[in-house]
Amino acid sequence: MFGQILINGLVLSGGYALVAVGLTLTFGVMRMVNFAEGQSVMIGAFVAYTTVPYIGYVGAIAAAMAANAVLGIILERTAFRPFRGVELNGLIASMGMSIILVNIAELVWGTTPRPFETIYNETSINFGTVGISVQRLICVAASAAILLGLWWLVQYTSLGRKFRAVSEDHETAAAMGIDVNQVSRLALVIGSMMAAAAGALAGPVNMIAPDMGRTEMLNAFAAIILGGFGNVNGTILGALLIGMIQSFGAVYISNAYSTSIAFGLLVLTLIFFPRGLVPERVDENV
Amino acid sequence: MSVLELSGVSKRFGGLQALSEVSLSVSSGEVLGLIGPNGAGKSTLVSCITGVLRIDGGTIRFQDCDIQRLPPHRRARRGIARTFQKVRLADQLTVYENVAAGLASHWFARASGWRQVFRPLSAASVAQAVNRTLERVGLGDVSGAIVKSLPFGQRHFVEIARAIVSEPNLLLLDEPATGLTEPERERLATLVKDIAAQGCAQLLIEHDLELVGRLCDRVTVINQGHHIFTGAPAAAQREPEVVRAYLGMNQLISGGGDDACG
Amino acid sequence: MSKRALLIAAVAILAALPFTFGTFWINMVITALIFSLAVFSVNLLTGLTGLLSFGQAGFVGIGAYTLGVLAKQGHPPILAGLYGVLLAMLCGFLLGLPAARLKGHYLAIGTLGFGILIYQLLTNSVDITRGPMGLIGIPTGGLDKQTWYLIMLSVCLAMLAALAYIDRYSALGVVLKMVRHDEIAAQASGINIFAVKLIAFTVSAGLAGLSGALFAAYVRFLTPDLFNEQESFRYMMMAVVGGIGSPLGGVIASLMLTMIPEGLRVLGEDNYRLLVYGTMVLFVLWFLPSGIGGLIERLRR
Repeated sequence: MFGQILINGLVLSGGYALVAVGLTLTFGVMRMVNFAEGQSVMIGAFVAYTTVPYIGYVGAIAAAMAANAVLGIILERTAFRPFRGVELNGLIASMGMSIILVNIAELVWGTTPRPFETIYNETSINFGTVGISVQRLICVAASAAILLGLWWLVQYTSLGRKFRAVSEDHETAAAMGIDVNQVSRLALVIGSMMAAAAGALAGPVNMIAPDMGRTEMLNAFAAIILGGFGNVNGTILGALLIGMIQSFGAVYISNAYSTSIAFGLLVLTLIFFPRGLVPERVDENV
Repeated sequence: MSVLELSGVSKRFGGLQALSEVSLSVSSGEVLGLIGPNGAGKSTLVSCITGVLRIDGGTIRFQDCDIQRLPPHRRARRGIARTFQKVRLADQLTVYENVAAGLASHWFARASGWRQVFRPLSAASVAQAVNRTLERVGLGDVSGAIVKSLPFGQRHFVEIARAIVSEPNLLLLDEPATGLTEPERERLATLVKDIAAQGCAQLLIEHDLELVGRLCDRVTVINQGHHIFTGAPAAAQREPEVVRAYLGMNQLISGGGDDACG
Repeated sequence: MSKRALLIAAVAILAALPFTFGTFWINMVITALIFSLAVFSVNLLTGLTGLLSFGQAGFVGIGAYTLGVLAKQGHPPILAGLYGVLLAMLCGFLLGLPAARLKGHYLAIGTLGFGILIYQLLTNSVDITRGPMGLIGIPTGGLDKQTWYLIMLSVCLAMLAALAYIDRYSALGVVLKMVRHDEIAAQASGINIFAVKLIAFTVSAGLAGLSGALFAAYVRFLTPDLFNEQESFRYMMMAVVGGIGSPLGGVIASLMLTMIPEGLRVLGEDNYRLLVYGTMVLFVLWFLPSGIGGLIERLRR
């Protein structure tokens, strides 16, 4: 039982982490929250779902990520670049894009939820008394791999340095010759691709539907609050915490309120830590 | 009569001791200059007086009351007003509206004042105070102008107007002469003298040492958080520690500072 | 004609409208006007005071369900509605206590979380609210559409006048704007920013609660889904499209964003509702960054 809950928690955490890190990356670089991120997950799931019969599961994941890369570019152009400096508008614009995407998905795939079948769903591996579907294992493993890759990217590559530079200080970064627009675009592309992976990996675990993006978003937000906006490491830990709490909470406290538990925790955190658990740099200049 | 008394005030930020046992006092009608090289802790001291920062040691007495426990807005309502190094005005609002905001100290000071808040801005009580103050600082004819459209120097005067419209007992001026033209500097000097004549105590932070010499009855010099001298401006110039502090930071003793970076 | 005469003429025309249009459109307009109260709550909170709230739908829901539940238990609807508004204000106050210390995105997500908690509460308290099964048959019938229209028109005009007064003429407006523009300077001028923010949250929640109570009384049927975070986003979108500081723009945006998609539904093109909605939002944001309200301002000059 415990093993099941643990794995469930990891599956959830993996999904949330992928989405949350994309969000936190985008936020760090553009100072705007991407409300369309949840739909990126959904689109990724559906693209994977559609292409699986033709190119197999691994190919489908790649296809989903490729499609979302394009989506990321579109999002950057339509919902973010026009609104630098007027962040509230950018946020609302991404909301607008979000519902457009939902509608497009509904038009293409209909509104009814459908199961995303892969061969891995059927098979399970047994660890002692615990039977875990291979799909879930793949979920966890792949999420971990992607997150590791991203962490390495941010810490050690020149692109990662640019991300961190722009997140620290826009103007200085631009003055140093960094193309802020390009960095923003890449942040959004990477974020969307990670969301695609989240959708393609977690899709088979539950059913997929055009409105599945909602809950993804909310939990990702909770993770970011716990981990700190713009802080990649913290966000991953936050996602881990949220996923685990939901998984254990659903079993030991109440299934219906499992979302509330995460958000209750979130609200409590903010009450005692108005600046989040991982405070951003303070530039109060009096 | 002493309006403000700081005694042994200390403030640290993490590992940095920003202020160490600083003492000073200002009386009504007096202009005390607060000078020192950049980074000496002058603005920190002002923030401690207004309550934005909590002190770690010492006492702050305003009109013979210990105000340490009071939050900033309560200190303001008691009669402490300030201007800022970087002018903090609501750019999209008019001069009139910005100055009227300064009356909030009055509106919220007593329960009966709350009704004022719901009255129109053009009400007689507000208009009289605001217009009178605008005349005093020389902005009478730009009352309806949007602050954003005003030249930089004028904005300083809007801030001063906002600070004095509530007739405070203590006015803290944080580098008010920055970026002012020659005629504006003269206007500022006259204004400071006028405010002092009305009985208000003033603490003037300035790099423009010529102005300090003219306007201040006394100066307090601090360097790296330490108080190093209090006395007449002329005496300060001759004090070896003061000279050392300034020379050490490549500051000019004569000719006034020029902080174009406001 | 003087401005005042124009205004009176406009109001008279608006009042006479329902007698010339068909039931469907009156229904649309009434619903849009009810929503615009929720938009006004955003104008007050975000436009004037600069605080974000992605949980307004929660307060709308509290107002709605309080009236619905109490009315079904036999309480007079007006009293039930009043309780709804008061309860919403209490919740706004409770939210404000922590929220007034939050900044920017933390505030946005904190309020989002609060709204979701309320939604979950409404959904799961099946004993009281009947949850997803819906609260049916709220006994507030007996008023015809024309009367409802006039009620909503009056309420909206009153709110518009009040908000315009606060924004443009009153000292309170300056206080709120100082809190929005520069907290440090506001404090230095004697303004207790925490108290101002708390009051703003409380009053804004009350206004949203009023919208909910009226909604419940008019539509007479509630499900929790009407008050989830998607709805909170809708109010924000309407507010921004209308111009965040412009309640008049908010009304127009509410009308547009309610009527056009619904009109499409009538024409059978239901599938494109969200698409049209989202596209409208994007277009306004691209070409009218200050929203419809900004356009009105420009036309004025």
